[in-house]
Amino acid sequence: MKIEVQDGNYYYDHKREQRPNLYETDINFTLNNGEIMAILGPNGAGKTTMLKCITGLLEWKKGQTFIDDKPLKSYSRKEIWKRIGYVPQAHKMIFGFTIEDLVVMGRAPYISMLAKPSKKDYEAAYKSLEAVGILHLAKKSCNEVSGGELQLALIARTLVSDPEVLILDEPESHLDIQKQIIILQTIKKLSTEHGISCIINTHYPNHAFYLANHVLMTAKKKKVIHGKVREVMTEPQMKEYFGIELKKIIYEEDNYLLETMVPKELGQEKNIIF
Amino acid sequence: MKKWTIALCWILPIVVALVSLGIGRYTIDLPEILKILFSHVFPLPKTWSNMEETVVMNIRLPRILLAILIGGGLSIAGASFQGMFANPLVSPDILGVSAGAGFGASLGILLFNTGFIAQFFALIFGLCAIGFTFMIAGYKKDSPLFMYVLAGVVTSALFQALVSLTKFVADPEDKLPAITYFLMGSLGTASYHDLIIGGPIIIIGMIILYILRWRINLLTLPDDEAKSLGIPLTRLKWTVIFGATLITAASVAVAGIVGWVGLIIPHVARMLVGNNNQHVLPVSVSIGAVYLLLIDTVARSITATEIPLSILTAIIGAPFFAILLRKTGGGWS
Repeated sequence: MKIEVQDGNYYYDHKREQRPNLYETDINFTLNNGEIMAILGPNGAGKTTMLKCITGLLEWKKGQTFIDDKPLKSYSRKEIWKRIGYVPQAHKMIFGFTIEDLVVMGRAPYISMLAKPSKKDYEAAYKSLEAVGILHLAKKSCNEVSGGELQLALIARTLVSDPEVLILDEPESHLDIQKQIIILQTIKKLSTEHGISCIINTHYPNHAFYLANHVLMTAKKKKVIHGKVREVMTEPQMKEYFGIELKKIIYEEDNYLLETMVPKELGQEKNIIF
Repeated sequence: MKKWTIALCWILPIVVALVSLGIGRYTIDLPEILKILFSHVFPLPKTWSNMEETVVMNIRLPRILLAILIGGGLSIAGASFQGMFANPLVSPDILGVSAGAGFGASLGILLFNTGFIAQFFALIFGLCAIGFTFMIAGYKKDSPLFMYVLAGVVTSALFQALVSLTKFVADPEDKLPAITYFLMGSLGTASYHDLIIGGPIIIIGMIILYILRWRINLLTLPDDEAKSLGIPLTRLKWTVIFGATLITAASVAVAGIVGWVGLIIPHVARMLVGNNNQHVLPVSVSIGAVYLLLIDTVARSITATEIPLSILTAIIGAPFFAILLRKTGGGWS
């Protein structure tokens, strides 16, 4: 599935005076089958809003989203949400559903208004729990499992409706490093093995390097730039958008390459360390 | 849900109803009760007195049926609201329906004495209250749920003030006590007439909520998340509110304001079957029906004068719920 945004822009009604355009320049990008796009930008740049506009949870005030060259609005609500999976940040719930009950909710677009999930729906839920590797937690309450496991369950919930695109809103942000890696590897696996395209908000430059084919970067009062990871995430541009000097670090070992960016400010005078 | 749980949900209310038919100042044995009941279906030789027949068929049966309907109805409404608002402290009157219906009934009693008009007024003002809440909160398509709760608080406050006003101007000799007793809830005057007025409305509300029981799980999620599951969120919310409103308004119309049931029974149900509303809702109906039936049986048999329902639901319910709460730590997480 191809997802494309043309001239997208947005404003909040109550802030229209101060910020008539949330994004300094209109948003344009095309995402093809199995590609991953990372959205980078400081807090308050409108990253989550952008995800909501792309999927139609909020309406673009200007421009629109196209799916396979047809406007998003020409699809029915059910059609859209069978094809797009939205993964929110993991959060505690007042009533702790079991993981299987949580995941089977993803089948909602396939279940008629008057029906409840059938055996087939539960089987789909188990299958997607297996795909993210937490089938053994099916009967646990979602308030008993760890944040990383809950995040995986939320990804599984979108997989039960066989989506072609996943939209992920900082899925790794409050997890420990090991859980972050599991989430990232799961996302990468879904895109390479199942051809699922992903749009992901992230705060971590090295996650963008690991996952993304291209990057969209935005900040308050800065043009929206979109392009290949290495073209967008350069030291001068990162400094401009994040207001802080980032140093690119490359680690090589035989056939293995790791790229990341770290804030220069975190360095210290040598004689303090030793 | 296991088969025996489902069976128990049906059997328990029936057994308690049969036992309750025999209890009261005029005791009747269970075999006699069964014979009286079945004589209306099969021809049976008459071995009971006319008195017994009247007590069972005309006095206790409509009352028991109403207690079952109202207890079950308020509980499923409460469970639906707790699910939809993702809040364990919510009860069916959160949007102001009870206060509105209570005012309608008070006004009816004040102007026309008790009876049909008071019930009619209760229904109308119950619906008015929801309309009012909608006007405050729901004018925008995407109002967050806490707006509904706040609007409900405003609506309740307004109608409670109006109830106080009717009490203030009511004749303290006869109308004031009538209003006061009505508002505390009672099935003391329950008749087939009440059953015909309240029953169908309550049943329609219950069917609506029962059909949507799994969807209420989806409503528990934050709005964007629920929308991303491809459901017509606003329409679904208002259907749930509509179903619960029918039940609450009709209950107030025939039995006055019965507190507590809609708040605690869903918790008891969750302690038994977990948090999936697909199971919580039907189990709530069964437990709620049994609970209010037991309460009403106590209300009519323990003393010579009837004790209002809301007093008993709280006096018996509070310690019971407190013990459950301590034992399970709430059970909803």
